[in-house]
Amino acid sequence: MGVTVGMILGFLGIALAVALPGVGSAIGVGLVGSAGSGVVTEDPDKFGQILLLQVIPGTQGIYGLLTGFVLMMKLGVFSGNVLRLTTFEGFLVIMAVLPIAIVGWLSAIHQGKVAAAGVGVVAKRPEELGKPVTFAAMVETYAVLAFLTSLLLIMFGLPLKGVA
Amino acid sequence: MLGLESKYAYATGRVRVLETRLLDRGRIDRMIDAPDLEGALKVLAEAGYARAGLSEKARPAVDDVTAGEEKRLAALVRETTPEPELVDFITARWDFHNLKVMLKAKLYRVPPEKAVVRHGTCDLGTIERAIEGETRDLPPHLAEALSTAKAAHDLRAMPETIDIAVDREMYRYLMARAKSLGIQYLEDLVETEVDLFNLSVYFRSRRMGRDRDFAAEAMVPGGKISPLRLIASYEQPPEAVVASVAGTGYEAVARQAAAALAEGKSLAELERLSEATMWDRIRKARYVPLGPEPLVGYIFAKLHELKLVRLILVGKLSGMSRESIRERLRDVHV
Repeated sequence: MGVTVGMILGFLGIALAVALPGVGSAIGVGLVGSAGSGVVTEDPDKFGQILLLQVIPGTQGIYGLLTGFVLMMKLGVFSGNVLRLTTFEGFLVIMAVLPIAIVGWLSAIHQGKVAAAGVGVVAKRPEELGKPVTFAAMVETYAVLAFLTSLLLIMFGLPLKGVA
Repeated sequence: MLGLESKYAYATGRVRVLETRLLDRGRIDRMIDAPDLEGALKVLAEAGYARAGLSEKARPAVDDVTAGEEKRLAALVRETTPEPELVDFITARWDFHNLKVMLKAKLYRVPPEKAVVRHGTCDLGTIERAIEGETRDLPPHLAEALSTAKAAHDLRAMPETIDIAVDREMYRYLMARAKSLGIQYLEDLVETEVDLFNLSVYFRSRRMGRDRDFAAEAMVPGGKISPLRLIASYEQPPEAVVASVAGTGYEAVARQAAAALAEGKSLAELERLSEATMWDRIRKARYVPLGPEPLVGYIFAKLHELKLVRLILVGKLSGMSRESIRERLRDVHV
């Protein structure tokens, strides 16, 4: 019972789903953190508001992780009986994770930029926190759409049977 | 993918808070309306200025206040920027200023102590030795400025030739530094400074009746305005200068300064318009969310603020009336 090319592609799909949005989130959160540290150096009282902005670009990493978990369940990773995917099925898995992998990665970086710009708003007008949060949340829409697409494809669109 | 945006994120955050502490119109008005220097210093103390509010009522108090802020600004840039060369845009001005003051002091036998900046990066002793002929320890850009200023002074023995020669070398140096840093906004600001400097040289030289060669030698190349085009109109009626600057964005400044020159009025209007033009360029940084622009814009905005503070404090010190100070700051952008 050897490893098939399909299994390698399936695991690559899991890796892509978790890694790319995770990298994007790390960059986005890091960017807001750097800008936020600058503000907190001068005005420590703004820590709480900036923390709220900083967590926003972190959600893509969570969507990627959830997609990866669902895919692991689908492939039988937790049961110890990993499905021996055909090459064709492996490619289908890759296709299914691409929406969250690509959109999650890029949207987290752009969301980080919007949230870091929002740090400037908080620095000058802390009472207007809701506005930069809303701007940053708008970017989230596309990450959510991509997450749902990948999730639905994995749960209902993958006719995985494997080889005997 | 992020490049400069990521490199300058921390600096941007700090600057966004510091921008809120820049003096606004209300504070400037309160400083002007203060009954004396002490009152103006109190307003500065409220705005977070270090060492303001001292009981000294002498010139050193004014210098201490602005010097303290200049040092804080340089420290901020050193702490926040990944490009240490950026601090040159503050400190190089002090060194060139000291060179100018000490060379004039030596040639005209006046004591330089009151006019020098003590927190320059180049030691005053090194500048003094260089003026005596020992230039080994002087940084190359200052050594070049020194030899150019001496040569200019040998040709025309007037203090202003030293000012013009050193200023020209300073702008040439800052232009080269801005280009090497690769920050477009910084290049634009220095270019604007150079253009305004050239316009100032043009009109002041004409007002003082200097010849064309004098003005041509004083101008700095590298800005949007070509010194050659500017000089081409030097011996023509004042309004001809507007055509020389067409398409550069300085038409309004040139037109009004030319009108003042033609009518024999003061060139204060040129000063005011130059300040307004510079301030417009500085303000652009406020709309850039991330990157080097907010820090660079803050450096220039703070230097501009310190110029205003110095004007007001010196006005208070010399007993100028509120109206006179206000007139000097008329329409100054804060």
